[in-house]
Amino acid sequence: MKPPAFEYVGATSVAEAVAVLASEEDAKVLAGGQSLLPLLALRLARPSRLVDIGRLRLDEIELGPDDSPAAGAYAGGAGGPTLRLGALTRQRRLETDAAVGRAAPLLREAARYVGHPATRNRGTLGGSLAHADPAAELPAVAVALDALVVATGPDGSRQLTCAELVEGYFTTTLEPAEILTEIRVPAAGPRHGAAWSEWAPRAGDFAEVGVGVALELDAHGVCHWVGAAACSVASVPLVLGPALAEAGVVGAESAAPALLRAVAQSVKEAASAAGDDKAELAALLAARSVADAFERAQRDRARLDQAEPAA
Amino acid sequence: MSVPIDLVVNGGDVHAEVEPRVTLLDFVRDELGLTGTHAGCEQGACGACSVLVDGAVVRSCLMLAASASGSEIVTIEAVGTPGRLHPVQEALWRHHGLQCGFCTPGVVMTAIDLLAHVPAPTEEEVREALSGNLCRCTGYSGMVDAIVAAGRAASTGPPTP
Repeated sequence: MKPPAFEYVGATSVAEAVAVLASEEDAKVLAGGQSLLPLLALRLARPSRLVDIGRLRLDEIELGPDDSPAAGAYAGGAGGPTLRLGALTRQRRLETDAAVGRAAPLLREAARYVGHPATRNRGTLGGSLAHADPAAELPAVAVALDALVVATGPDGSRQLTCAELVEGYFTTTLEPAEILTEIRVPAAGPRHGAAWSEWAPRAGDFAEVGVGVALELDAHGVCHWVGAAACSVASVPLVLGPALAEAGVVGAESAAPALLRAVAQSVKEAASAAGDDKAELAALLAARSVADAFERAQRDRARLDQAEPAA
Repeated sequence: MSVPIDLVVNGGDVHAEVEPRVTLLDFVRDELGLTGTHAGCEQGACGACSVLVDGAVVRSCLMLAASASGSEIVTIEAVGTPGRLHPVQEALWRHHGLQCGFCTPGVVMTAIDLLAHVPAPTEEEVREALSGNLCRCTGYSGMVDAIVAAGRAASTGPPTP
């Protein structure tokens, strides 16, 4: 079908876009459009006006010092560097950008599972978070990595965690006139390993379940932090970091079979509300991600040890 | 309401007034008569309408013409000529990579984007890239062979539109 009729504003500034959203209840933001255009074509959405923010320069990626008061839970700890991504960063760029690969390898790996190359060339990171599809990879990654988002509205900007942003099925805590403008991801520290595993019937389909894990080892090779989340098992990304830590990932030196069994058991329990099939799948994928993340963190450790031999 | 747009399509300047709800797909087909870009599902599922926007493959049914203002669009009409096929087209022909041809324009655009990023892709990489292009004739094997071969051949000269 064809989209229904609507008015169109090609926004030239965030302030202009916010003003239009504030003045009209049924106005909606158009970013990359890879979820909104299908909704329009199927006539599941009927906005009175679309505010196209696609030409705003909100696509810069920069690795900078952390000045966000809410950060600090992450491995690097308070004061660690933060990867700042403009909300309109294209999903394709998450796959190819070197800074993203270094500072947030989980984001890079998961991006490859988002739709297809042609949709990733248009789809944006901020759009995916604001759309809050429970089957989407990027909100789960953002939650796993304790990312923060910046929302800009008529009264200025505020910062909130991704867990606070995503409220339920396709629902966020953004105010009607707020636009998501930036995503702040605590950057990976040394001896970092991350892995995204998912199962979908065909490449590019929505995941039946997806699980992302990032972890870091200390100088002795012992895991001191793990972050994890799953998509497609609940109405919001299912937080798994604390469960994995408790299952023994924190304190472990490698993904021994006993550890992976404990991981699978704890994830199965955490995902039990989604039904047996999904819970079992989540458990398997979590174990796979933990194993891959450990292997990559150990490789990173070996690389660092080679570069700086212990005195 | 209509919106003025200025864009470059296949190397030529285009100025037009469009209704906001008109997709880039309908614009190139109905307003510009470039019907080589095929309208399949019109909801982003099939990939038949793929075009290049500023050099990157995009589904033209998932982009408003109004959003394309300021961009450079390449459609299948600007890829190769009947006498001198683009290397991807040539490879599809040689490897029996098409049957009815409906999905082919989108497949060619997807392959051009892939080869620009990964000059000599493996079969696995080609299959992943093609996952967003549906072929009802089930002709994927020939397509995959063709694009792998086009990548290999391109080591002596990169395929660009």
